[in-house]
Amino acid sequence: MTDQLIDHGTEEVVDFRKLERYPKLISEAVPNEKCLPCALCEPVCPTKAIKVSFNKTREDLGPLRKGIKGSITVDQEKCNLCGRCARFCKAFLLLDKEKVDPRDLKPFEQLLVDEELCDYCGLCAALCPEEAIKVEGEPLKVRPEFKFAGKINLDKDLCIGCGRCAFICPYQAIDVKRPFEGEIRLIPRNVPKCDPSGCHGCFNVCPASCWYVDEKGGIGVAKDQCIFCGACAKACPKEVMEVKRTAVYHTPLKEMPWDAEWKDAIASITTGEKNRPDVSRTVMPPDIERPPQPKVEMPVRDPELLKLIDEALKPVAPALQKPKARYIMERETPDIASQKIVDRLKIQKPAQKKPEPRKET
Amino acid sequence: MVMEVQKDMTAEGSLVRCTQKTPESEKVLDYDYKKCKGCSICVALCPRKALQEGPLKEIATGLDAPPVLIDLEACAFCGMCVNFCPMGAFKMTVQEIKKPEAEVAAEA
Repeated sequence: MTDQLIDHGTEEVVDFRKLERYPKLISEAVPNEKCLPCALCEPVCPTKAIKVSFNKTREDLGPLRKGIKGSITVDQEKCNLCGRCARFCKAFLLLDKEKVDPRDLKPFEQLLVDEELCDYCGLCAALCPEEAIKVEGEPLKVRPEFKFAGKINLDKDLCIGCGRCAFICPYQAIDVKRPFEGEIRLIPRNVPKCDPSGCHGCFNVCPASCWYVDEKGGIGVAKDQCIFCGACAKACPKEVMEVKRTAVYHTPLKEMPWDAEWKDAIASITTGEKNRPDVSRTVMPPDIERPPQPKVEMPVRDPELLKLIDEALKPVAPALQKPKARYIMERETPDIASQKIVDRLKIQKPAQKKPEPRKET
Repeated sequence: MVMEVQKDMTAEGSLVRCTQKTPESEKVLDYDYKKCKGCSICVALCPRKALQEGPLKEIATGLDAPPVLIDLEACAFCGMCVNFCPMGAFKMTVQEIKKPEAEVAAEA
């Protein structure tokens, strides 16, 4: 009994997305060797997939020295607001921009220095990649092995491949692989119906935060950052925008059972529909064997008798063709009908002695 | 031998968890609707038509509901939605179950 339980040993739990035998969507941003790193891309990422961390801060090197005189200046022309200095020392403050707009991704207004918190140690000047900081005073002596270094961490599960980090990066240090190729456009005849300040449906769903309201109060989209997921078009109550996908980037489709299904599924991303009919749940009923229909035998016709009947009916034919007579025939039993018709004939034309219909006899 | 398939669906917060147990494997499909933006790529892609659009326009303007509805009976746990969701709203774990040797021998 115990042996059997041991035999039931289960294998490890595997993340399906990590299985290489199935194709999967590619959307990623990979920092290259040009990355310092700085901290500019972190606040720009719409899905918060980027985390930058640094090894040291000014506080790690001891408290501020007192009574040191000096000066510190930041050349605003050179400064690209990368934030390395601000991450290192509390004396720097990056002023957040009031309005976020995908047309201008810079997350900060400017870099400020609080000289109250500065002891003119001069370390910031060395870590600024643009040499925008000038410090005069008494440099702080640090160990020769001191090095300000950082690490950038990109969460692949969160990254949607919008490319914002690459757009903002001053050093072309991020290579982006976008998931789809396509087109997004505003439909001119529906744009007037859009209420960008009231509805905000597209703003709420867009994973890349591409939407903005322009100076004239109209809706706009940063096409270069759009991943063509199409969520906005599904959310819009006025059909203001249209999204088309022309290509899907995915890891290779390998030969396997169901590979046709996978291929079909991938095709549906650009076409919007499955190419093949779904027969997975269609069950055709079995053919039923039916006995052959018996042949219908026609009754034998006697031409002589037919002739007799025709002749006998001739005199009453005009009367029978009258609507009222037909009305009676259709509603009464033959006996009562013939009686009624005979009665009518007697009333209408008593003078003409019409022969009675043969039917009666 | 009839294949035994047990399916189950639970919801906790914004997470919808579907599980499928067979004698060969145990699959857990997680759909986190807070991550889902309602692009409906998965709806068009699903080979079993197990996914359906929710009220997307209402959700976009504030309704708290999953943008995609899962038909557990139809779902085959194939993982296509997992691998092609641009938001990573779907996740799936697979656990293969080893058959006891005695049973394998009996089948052969």
